[in-house]
Amino acid sequence: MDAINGLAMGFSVLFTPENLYFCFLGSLVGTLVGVLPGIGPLAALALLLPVTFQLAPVAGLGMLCAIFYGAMYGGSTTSILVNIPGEAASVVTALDGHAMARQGRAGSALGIAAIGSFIAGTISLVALTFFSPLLASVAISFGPPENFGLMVLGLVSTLYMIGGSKVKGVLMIALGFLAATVGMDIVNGQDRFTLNNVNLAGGIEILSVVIGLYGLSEILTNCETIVKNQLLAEKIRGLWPSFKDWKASWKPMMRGSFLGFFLGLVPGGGPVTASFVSYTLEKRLAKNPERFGNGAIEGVAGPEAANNAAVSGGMIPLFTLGIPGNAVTALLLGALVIQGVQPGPTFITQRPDLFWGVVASMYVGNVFLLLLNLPLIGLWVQCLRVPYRVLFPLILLLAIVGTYSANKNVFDLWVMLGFGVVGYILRKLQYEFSPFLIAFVLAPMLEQSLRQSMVMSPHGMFIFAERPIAACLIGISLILAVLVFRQRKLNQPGGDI
Amino acid sequence: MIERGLNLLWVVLGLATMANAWALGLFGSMGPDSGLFPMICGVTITLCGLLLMIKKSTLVENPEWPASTGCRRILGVLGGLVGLTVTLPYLGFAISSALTTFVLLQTIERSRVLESVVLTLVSVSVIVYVFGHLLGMSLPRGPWGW
Repeated sequence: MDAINGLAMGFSVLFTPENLYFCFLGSLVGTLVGVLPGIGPLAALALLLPVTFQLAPVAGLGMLCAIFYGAMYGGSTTSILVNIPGEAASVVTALDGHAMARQGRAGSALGIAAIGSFIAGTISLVALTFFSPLLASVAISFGPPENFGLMVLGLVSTLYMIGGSKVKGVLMIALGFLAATVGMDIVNGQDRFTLNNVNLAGGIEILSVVIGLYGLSEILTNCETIVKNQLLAEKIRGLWPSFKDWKASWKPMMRGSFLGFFLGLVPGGGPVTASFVSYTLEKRLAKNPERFGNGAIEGVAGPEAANNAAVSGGMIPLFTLGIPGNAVTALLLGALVIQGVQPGPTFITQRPDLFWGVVASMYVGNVFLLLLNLPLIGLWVQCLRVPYRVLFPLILLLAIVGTYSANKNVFDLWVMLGFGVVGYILRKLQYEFSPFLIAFVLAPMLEQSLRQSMVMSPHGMFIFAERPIAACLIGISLILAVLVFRQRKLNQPGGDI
Repeated sequence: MIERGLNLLWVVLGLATMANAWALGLFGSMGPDSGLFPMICGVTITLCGLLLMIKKSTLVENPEWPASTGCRRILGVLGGLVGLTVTLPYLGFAISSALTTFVLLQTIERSRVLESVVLTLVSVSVIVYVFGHLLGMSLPRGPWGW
């Protein structure tokens, strides 16, 4: 099935009232999550993950994707209006967006952010449509050694992209693997690290892990202080950018779209990295870089386009190789696995309805988001007035009911609480969670590939040197690993901003 | 201090994992056994823990731990969640979550009584309605059947 026919089938799958409703709901919730400070997209995705298990796969996954890129759209609103990024990818938008708002150009900044996000989202979706089947057709010939090499490369790339200590990154990967090995060994049925607790025989529930690490630890961090909302008092007008704004923005938008797409594609990349790199690039290319930070519209257009494009880019390795490039796609992989779907090279051919349905839902969600973000901007501004104490009980109860919903087991709540407390402490000590989550999700496949590879060859580990593609992938991983540890300065994205 | 303690904990965890993995067996007649992968994890955790203990540059300078008020709020939330988890099987979701939410709003957020009652009722009703009715999920019920 070619891409055009596949997409047509995707739209036919999507166009049911239920699927469209949940796609719209995801866009709405995502924008809200992006707008409201105090809950990030990852925490929201973690908390809402259990909701989607009750839905049909296309509706559930379409909703999760919409929440993710909806948060990218919504995050720019708080960055521009109150200088508080709703999520990490909008941090750079605040630099020039809020400066524009202070100069009375909030409307232009919001407009260019929404339109730029839409254009970049659409460009990267077109690339996703045509590129995914191509990559899947190549990856279909991969055996266990190649899959193992690919996963190792993905994990090493994650290390390359994270900020902070790389040793802590490696440690988090190993801890993620260890957490995933708890339970019964699928090969020989032997219990591993269960501490004779029957509740651990089935392994640690992914929902307890993600809700604890991302949801509860964020709730605890927010509890440290009373969150006070501040709002720009001025009325927002002139959302449609002027000719001058368009002229200054279209090139950064295009550059941001392509840069974001490719950075999303690379394991370890993602919206945050893409927005920082795009800002740095625009600043370097600008004739007057001193304007940046003082209301340069290019500093809004580029990063906003890049972070939205990165969302679609990140879906390609997930859908075609089964490799999540960042924490959000790791969460989506978890959602797919719980739905009984294993993403990988055969995903497009075995479940074309689901793959193309989700891709179609991303196109439609992108349109929903443009409609939600431009005409309804006033509503989102009002949402900024909602005090945190109103949301606090709902967020807390969502964490509880979401965790409980997986197995209807109180033990999972204790696990979630444990991960929440550990997550809070690790946040303070600047440990990143994405390597842990990616390793936790990939571990079963990685271990299986390793064991299958070693059984396949009489030479044990040397099979990775005997197979050319696997050898290349492992070789690149080793080179990358050396580079990771040779980096003298910490790899903070956008370090020269 | 906390970070040094944590680094030591990683080393202990890594060594314990290695010991447990050894007991599981690294290689069997069919090739790699259950303990091989955990052994790799254990070795990595131990080495990383040791590196973190040795390398001073990895220590976070002045980690932003909360002040005493912040600590009380965090402990309050955790206490509330522990209470909810303990009472959930006995009182059911509606009662235990309503009690916890009300107490937390009163103590942590210091909301007015009427505001706390309204927020509690709205939050619990929304969650019970969405999860219990719309999504058809069976939430724990108390002795009164709800």
